[in-house]
Amino acid sequence: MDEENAPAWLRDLPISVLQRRLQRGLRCKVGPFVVCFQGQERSLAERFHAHYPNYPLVDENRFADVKLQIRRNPTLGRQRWTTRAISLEDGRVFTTFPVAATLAHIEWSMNWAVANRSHHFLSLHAGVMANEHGALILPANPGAGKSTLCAYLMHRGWRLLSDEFTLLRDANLAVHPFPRLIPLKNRSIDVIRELVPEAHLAPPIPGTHKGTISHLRPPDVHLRAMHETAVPRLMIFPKYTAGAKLSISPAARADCFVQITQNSFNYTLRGEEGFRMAVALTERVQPYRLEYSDLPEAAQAIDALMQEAAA
Amino acid sequence: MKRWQVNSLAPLVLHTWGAVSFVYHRESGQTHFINASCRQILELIAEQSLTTIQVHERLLEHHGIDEDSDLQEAVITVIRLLEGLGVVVACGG
Repeated sequence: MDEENAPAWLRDLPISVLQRRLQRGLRCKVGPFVVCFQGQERSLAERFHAHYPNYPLVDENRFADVKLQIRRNPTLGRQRWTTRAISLEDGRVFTTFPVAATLAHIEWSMNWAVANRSHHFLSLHAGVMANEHGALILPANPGAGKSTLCAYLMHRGWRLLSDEFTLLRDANLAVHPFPRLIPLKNRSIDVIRELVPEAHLAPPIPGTHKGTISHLRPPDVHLRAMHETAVPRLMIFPKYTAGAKLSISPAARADCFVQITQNSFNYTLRGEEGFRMAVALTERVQPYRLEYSDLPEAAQAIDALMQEAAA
Repeated sequence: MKRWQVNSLAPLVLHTWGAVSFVYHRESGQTHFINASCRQILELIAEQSLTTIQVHERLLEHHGIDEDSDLQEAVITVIRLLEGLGVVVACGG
């Protein structure tokens, strides 16, 4: 075994080795998927070392579910030096972006690929956290505070499965973790900085189509548990409203079902099985609506709801 | 007179929460959100093919009420809607 193949974690690779691996195609396990990242530049290796250190490496010959090639933008003249491009398996330019936004576009490209291809799961656009009682699913529209809530809960005793994807498989509805960087947006960045001083945040990326983004790196423990599925127990539809008093109310199961189907990336594609899984999930969880403005207060209420659901 | 039947060889895939039901239509892959009256009509037609008048008569009997022209209108409307969605089809003259 040579020095490049021995390490099990990305953080164990020296930058120069990591760069060589990236040039050939670096394969990492990201939840249930193998993702292959490919790129030439040393700065890319440095980014990976800083932001993805806790991902396990897999053999270079393993089949990759997603392949992302990060390279200079081939279609522009002067901007060739200040912009980059990502291609998927077909080699065509999938997205272009300023160098500073590389991390955001790697994450978004991975999201796109998983949402559009992983139809062996019923996938929901929903955050999902777990504790010893089971999984808490958080479906929400953009802007409802889902990622911020996941970021806070992750540092307060909950395990991060994903802030974006709930991946359900089989009749037993096991939720498969897909732990990733959490993209905090705009004011949420300062909120988490203030409430969670130990949070590891990447430098903010201003001017994206979602405003300023800073990626929060999940602590190692969350990635080490990326193979442990969780059983759905609680479903909360969160809504952040500035200045709002905490409000919790049970949600009707019919509404819960509608939310599941509307927040699914592939409900229609899954056909009758998708219907049966959505019904089973609706029956399995205790559904609530939560409006909040204070994160610690919301987290305390969520802890209590999970205790109650598990009793 | 037209008789109506469910447009599927397999049994209905339906789930109910309270007064609200969801029916998965295999042929189109669509999920429909239906109320209690619609569900009752659909379940009658799923049991056996019926004319609109027969559906109306069964509902009168089920609810223990006399002739009701509003109900008859409602039955016609619901069946037309279900036909439009492809959930029921006419099967005889």
